[in-house]
Amino acid sequence: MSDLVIATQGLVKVYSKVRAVDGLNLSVQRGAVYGFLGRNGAGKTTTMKMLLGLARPTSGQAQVLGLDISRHRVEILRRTAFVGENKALYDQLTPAEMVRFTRNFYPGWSDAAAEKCARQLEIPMQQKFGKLSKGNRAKVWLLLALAQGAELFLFDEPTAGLDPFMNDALLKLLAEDAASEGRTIFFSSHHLAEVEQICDWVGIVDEGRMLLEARLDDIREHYRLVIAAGRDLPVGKTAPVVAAARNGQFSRYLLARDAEAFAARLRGQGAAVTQVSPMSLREVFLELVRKEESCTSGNAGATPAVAF
Amino acid sequence: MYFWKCWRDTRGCFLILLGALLAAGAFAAYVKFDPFGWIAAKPMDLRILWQGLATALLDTTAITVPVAGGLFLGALGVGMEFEKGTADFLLTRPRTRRYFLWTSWGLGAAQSVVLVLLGCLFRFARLGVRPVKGPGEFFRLLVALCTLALFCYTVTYLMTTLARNSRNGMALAILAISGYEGLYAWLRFWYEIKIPFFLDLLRTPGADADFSFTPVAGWLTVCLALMLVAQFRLDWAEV
Repeated sequence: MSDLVIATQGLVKVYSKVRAVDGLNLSVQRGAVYGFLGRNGAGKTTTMKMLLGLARPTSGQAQVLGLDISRHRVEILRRTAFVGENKALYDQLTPAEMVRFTRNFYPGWSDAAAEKCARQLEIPMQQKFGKLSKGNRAKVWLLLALAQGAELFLFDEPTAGLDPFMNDALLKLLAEDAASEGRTIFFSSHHLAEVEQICDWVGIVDEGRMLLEARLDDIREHYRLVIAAGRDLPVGKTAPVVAAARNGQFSRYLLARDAEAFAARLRGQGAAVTQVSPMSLREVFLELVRKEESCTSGNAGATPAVAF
Repeated sequence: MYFWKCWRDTRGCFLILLGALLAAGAFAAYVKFDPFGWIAAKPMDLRILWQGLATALLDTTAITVPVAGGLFLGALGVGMEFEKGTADFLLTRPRTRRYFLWTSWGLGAAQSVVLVLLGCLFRFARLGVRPVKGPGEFFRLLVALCTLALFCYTVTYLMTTLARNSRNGMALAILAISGYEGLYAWLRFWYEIKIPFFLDLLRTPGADADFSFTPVAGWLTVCLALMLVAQFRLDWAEV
């Protein structure tokens, strides 16, 4: 448990009749760069809000840095840096004033890190926040987070609004500075390419449930798509099947490992296996969140990744 | 530093109100001392009119500015963060929500008291009653006005926290205060039932011996209770 920086068990958040998060189990290892992926409304932002005490779980448990989120909110916030989704800050303050305002909250604040970040991201420090572009606003949030000296970074779509050049500069900052110092980065994004660029773990959520949590290297090396034609083929999610779907006489399987053995088993049941192919993160993501008839998906065979 | 940020948020409003008081004070001082002899040169009835105008202006501003200050400053409390979309930033700083609530409330309360104090000083200076000469009257008015201003400020602060919006908070506060006035009038004039009324603070007799802390303590307790409601609301607020 001590190696987990974020751990949730059956986390649920219900807004009126909507289950924004529905029994989420999440495990983020210390030092990981974890990409939290999902479609719009999958529950990513709500999960982050619950981890930071901005929203209260309806049920379930969660620990951040080994501390219970419902009882140690301030201590968690002291050791965690956050970049929010909407990137709003005080319009009348300049980024330099925001730095002065924020640094007193954090004993581990680094002025050197703030200056480096401002320089690399080319932030106009003396311009009022209200007059900054959307991209520059995102950069100010990032500066305030990166200079805190936090153990854990929670970023909710940190690169939204940044141009490709700045996107790269930010990812470089994250990869070089934060990740290299053994800090944990947990960030949500829609950009699979940037997740592939810096992450070593990914979690894919949909409708508030964790569909897959695995090392990115494992996905690249072991995950396979198996397509088979035949009658009465299984569509269950027994390991190593992570997701299965049937469309007419064709069945699609996303396997976490042992794809060839699984294909041989299907052939043994009289199926014609038409494809066994490696998958990119993008393909895994699309396969998991695909909405098809008789589609089932689950975490089977994927967690923990070290078991592969 | 949060105190500094609260000051940045409220200083514009506070300085405008302070400016209004200073302008009224300057006008009253001009009429009183007449440095260029312009008023002395006017006919007697006009001189009386100028003197009356200065006194009325100071009397009015000494009451309306702190009350208006209560309403405006209360609307700039921590509830405004939700409206501006900055609540997720502020509430992820490592402090308790109570810290943010009471710090911002404390600054606004101090500003309200400064406005009251200045208004009272100008008023008494105009009337020629020095605090040391008439301590009872000065003290009574000061305490009563402070309590009244704090009450208006706290009601608005609570409503802004409940509504998560400055404008709605202020509108709700005006509605709540007017509603209470209406209830007071209705009970008093239809049923002859007298309930505590905040404007009674200003109607207590002026003599030292007659001054009672009970209504002041009562209304300050009401303020504390309202702030506890605001604290509960903020503690449970989701962003």
